[in-house]
Amino acid sequence: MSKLRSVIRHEYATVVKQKGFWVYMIAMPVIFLLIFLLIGLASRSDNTSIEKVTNDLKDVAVIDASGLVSEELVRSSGQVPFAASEYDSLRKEVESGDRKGLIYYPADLLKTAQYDVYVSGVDFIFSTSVTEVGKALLQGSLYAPIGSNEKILLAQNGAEAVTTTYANGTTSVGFTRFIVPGAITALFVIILMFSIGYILTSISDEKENRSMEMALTYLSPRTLIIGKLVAVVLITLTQLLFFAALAAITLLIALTTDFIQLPANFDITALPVDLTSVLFALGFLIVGFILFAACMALIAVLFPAKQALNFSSFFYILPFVPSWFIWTVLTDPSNPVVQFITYFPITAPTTSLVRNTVGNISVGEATLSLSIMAATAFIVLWLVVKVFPKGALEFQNPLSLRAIFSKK
Amino acid sequence: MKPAVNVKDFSLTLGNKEIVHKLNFKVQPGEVFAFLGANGSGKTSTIRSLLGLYEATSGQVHINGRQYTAKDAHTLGYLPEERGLYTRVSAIDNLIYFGEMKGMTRAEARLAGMEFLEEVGLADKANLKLKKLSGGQQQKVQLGVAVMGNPSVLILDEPTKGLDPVNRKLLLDIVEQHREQGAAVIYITHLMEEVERLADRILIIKDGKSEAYGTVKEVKKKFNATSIEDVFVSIYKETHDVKGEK
Repeated sequence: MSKLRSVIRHEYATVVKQKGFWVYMIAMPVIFLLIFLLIGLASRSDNTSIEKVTNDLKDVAVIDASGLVSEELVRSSGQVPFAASEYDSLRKEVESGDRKGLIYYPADLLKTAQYDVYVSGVDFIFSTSVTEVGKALLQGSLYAPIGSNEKILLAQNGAEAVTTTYANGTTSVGFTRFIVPGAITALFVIILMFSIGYILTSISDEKENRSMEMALTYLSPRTLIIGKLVAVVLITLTQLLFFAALAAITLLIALTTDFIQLPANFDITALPVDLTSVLFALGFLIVGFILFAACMALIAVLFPAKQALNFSSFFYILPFVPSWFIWTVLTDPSNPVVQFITYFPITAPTTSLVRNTVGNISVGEATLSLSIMAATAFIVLWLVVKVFPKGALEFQNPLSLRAIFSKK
Repeated sequence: MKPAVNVKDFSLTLGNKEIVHKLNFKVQPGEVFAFLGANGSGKTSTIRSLLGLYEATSGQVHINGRQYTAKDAHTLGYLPEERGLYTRVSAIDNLIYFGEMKGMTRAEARLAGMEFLEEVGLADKANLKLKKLSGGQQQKVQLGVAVMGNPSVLILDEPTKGLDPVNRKLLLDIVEQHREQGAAVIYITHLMEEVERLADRILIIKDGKSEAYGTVKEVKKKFNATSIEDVFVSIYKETHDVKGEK
């Protein structure tokens, strides 16, 4: 037991004491944070730009030769209406830069469905804004006969649908019920991307620098492989704690500043939790993690370092196969392809997690998928322990099938 | 006296190839036993079988009266030809880790590790990652790992390879210290002057078979040679089978 503890401590410390571990882990969130900051700064800059554009729009003249645009609306929008006779002089003012812009609705607007916009300068934002103002003035004027402002707005923008869904005879909580199992699915993807590879690196490194022979002189293969697996779990937990802390900081920033916008009426304490769905999600997460860690260990044992690294890429690609058929996975769970990837061990964790998130996997299907994953993980782990002493000392070539299944 | 290492009628077949054929030798406590042979002659396979990494096809390979397992780690010190320490870990952490593997507490291992590093002049580099040390310095740490815990059996595969004369003498002195303390030392080398200086008895193998076995004096006499190097050359010259260094 004390040897196992030493192996775990050694494996854990070897990884977390590396600068690269923290650089890699910090770099990704920092990049996202920088993007958020840039978006925040850009939006502030946008606000300043909008103020300037609003001021400049007051210097835009409007001429309506069509008789379709409401003069009252033009004034209330902050623009100044002019008579059609002033068209030439106003256009020259814009041309010389003495006026910011001119919107001209021609007499034949009904026939041509075209109006003219003249803008001073090459400011794309301002130019677009003048065009939009022209469009809004025309639309607003045409909608005006409808009646009240509320009706006009409704006609222009439409109305939002409030959807109530029913499940098992009662009102369901709708989209928010996806959040917790969805977060667990995201967690699995993070673990897959950040953590699973450590066990491959750990074994391949020991083979590459020949420390494996030393390790196996003083340790049983079982102690060494269990120590490595437990260390990977601890490394993963360290990463998750780190990301959880970052998520908490992000949430705090979102709640206390206007830098990050949360959905309206978002209340983290009121998130609905479907116990069955959450338990299955956790099951898929844990068993999926063990399965992939065991697969990585097996690859590292069977192949020399470089080949192991190449071969391991399959285990980063295959779990994302469900995303290729995502619409079918979401809408047609009985489809044979969806059924296959639900039960095929390497695609099962992600497919089942996604289906569990959207609620289209039955308890029976989830149990079967979880059982297949667990059985495969057990077989792979058993195989790892069996071939570990042979593969661990094979530094140059992949372990042959004959060697794998030979008695010793 | 009960031998510390007892290899009896040991044969090993890997795949379809017989690597070692009916090998016999014993190593007594307090004895340096030179295990010699050209590259590919079966030395490493024999050592790996002694360590339990390979299973003997027939015969026995015993350390302290039984087949060695990781449970007996405290009795063994091993320095492999292909050095095998953790290069991303500090020198002292390597020593502590393998000390723990040999049943020492962390504190005992740290103390013993620091004492060794002081003895070989590396105390100031204790916390440097191994990859920051020179090849010779790494080799000293590797020997430190082997002798941690004063094991009763030391298996040293070319421990002085690549070392300068000063450091070579330092390492050989350490080996002699352990012999004087009663350790049985299996010493593998291609440097015959080391054999002449250290070895009490020798075994030369060729193609997995014993060619010469006995005290240095006996072997020289049997081959009518003035040095072990002459014996070695005469054994391998017959078939011009000496392979170059890998």
